[in-house]
Amino acid sequence: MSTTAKFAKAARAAVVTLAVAAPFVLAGQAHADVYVSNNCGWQSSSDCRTDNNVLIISYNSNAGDGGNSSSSAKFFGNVPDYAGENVLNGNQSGYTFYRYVFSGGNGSGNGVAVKNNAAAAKGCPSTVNYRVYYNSNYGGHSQLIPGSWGCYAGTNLDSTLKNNNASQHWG
Amino acid sequence: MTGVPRRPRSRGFLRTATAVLIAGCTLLGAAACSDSPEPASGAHGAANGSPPPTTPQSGLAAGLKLPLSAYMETYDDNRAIERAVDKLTQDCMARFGFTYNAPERTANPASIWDNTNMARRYGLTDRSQVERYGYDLADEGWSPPPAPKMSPEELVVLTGRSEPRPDAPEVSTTAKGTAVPRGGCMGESLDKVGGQLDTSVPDRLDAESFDTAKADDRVQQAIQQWSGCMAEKGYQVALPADAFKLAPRVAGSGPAKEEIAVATADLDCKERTGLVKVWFDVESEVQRKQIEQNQLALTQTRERITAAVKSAVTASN
Repeated sequence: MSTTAKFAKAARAAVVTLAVAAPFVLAGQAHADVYVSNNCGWQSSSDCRTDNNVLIISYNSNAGDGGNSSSSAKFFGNVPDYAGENVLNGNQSGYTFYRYVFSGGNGSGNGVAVKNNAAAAKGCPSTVNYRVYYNSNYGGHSQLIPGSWGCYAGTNLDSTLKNNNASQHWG
Repeated sequence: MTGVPRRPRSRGFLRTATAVLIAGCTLLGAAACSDSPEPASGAHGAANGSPPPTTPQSGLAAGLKLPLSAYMETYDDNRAIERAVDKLTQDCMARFGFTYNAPERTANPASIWDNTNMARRYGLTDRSQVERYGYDLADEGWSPPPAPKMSPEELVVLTGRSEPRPDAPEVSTTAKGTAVPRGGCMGESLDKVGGQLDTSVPDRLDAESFDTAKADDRVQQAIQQWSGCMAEKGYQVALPADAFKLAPRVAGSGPAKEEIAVATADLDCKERTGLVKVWFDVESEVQRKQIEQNQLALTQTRERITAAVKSAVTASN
């Protein structure tokens, strides 16, 4: 399996992949977007794929008991833009834009863009904290999301970050 | 630090990066060329391991602190509570016969002091960081601590679940003849320090003031001047928050020359227009009014934070 295919396979998980004409063109090449619910495919650390030190972003708010069964996305480390990420193709044939959407869970929010549509976040499991930001590239107001090694506590995004989440990084 | 690089690097990139680094070493001086990746300290965050500064130390946001910061949970507050939770968890695990060592909690170079995010609130503000990292953070080479290796029994006592996953089923069980608390030792410890702190009042106000200030004529004028300055440099962009789109970045490669050029222009224009200080001054005005109108709720939040830190320290001794 080519490296690209391995990346894409790892990233796609339960999401049905849609090929859509790219909204912008990079380096003179047109690319189909790939829809994913995580950024694991291009991390050199194995943490993301083994579900360690990740931030889970959910479409709906957490229930009173902290539970959340809505569709979600999972990210490792810094995400400068929740819209998605350009990733170099393994075979040096240009770039692919991976567009981040929610998926899974009970289907609430399935397929919806992660950017500006999140209501809750959970460092689960994570040994370190995360931060979510109002603007891309970690700008604007931010909120600390505790890393919960036992996945015990989740955090509802504050009233302004809710549906206005643009980026995240390690806390 | 494990030194595991966080991004895959193609061969071509390594060759190019080495060439750039050698050239860069000459330009940036010896300090930039140490063997281990050295984060640009100061404006954004901490040098390895130490807490972030309470206010940016360099760049256009140096020394700035918004009024609402006084009512927010700080990095130190959060760490004190976390340390207490770790200690309580350790003691609880010992009760059940396990030796548990919590993963070490250290600041990463991009850690910040509080939710106001002063160094990046109005976008880029630190030239030394911009020249090296463009729009990116100065925390390359940092990795989180490794996950603790635990037996299934240990995990259940620690977390109250069979696996550390959001949908893992809760397990109700006993160990050493004692019922395992709900949420395991972690859950119990978190409850003992009063659960997660509620800082929704200062957080909400701090987020609102950003937009209120941005809509103010004085800030709008400065933004337009910034945009005009960018146009002079050949970049068509209305808002600082959108400037990064002029040079799309590719994961798996460092910031390209083009990104650094855009980021540098962005910063030059901020300097020329005084945008950061204008925005900060207007937002400070807004926040002072918010504080007047919400004094009681804010004071209560601040008292709650102080009390939580105090009781966390007490509970873990």
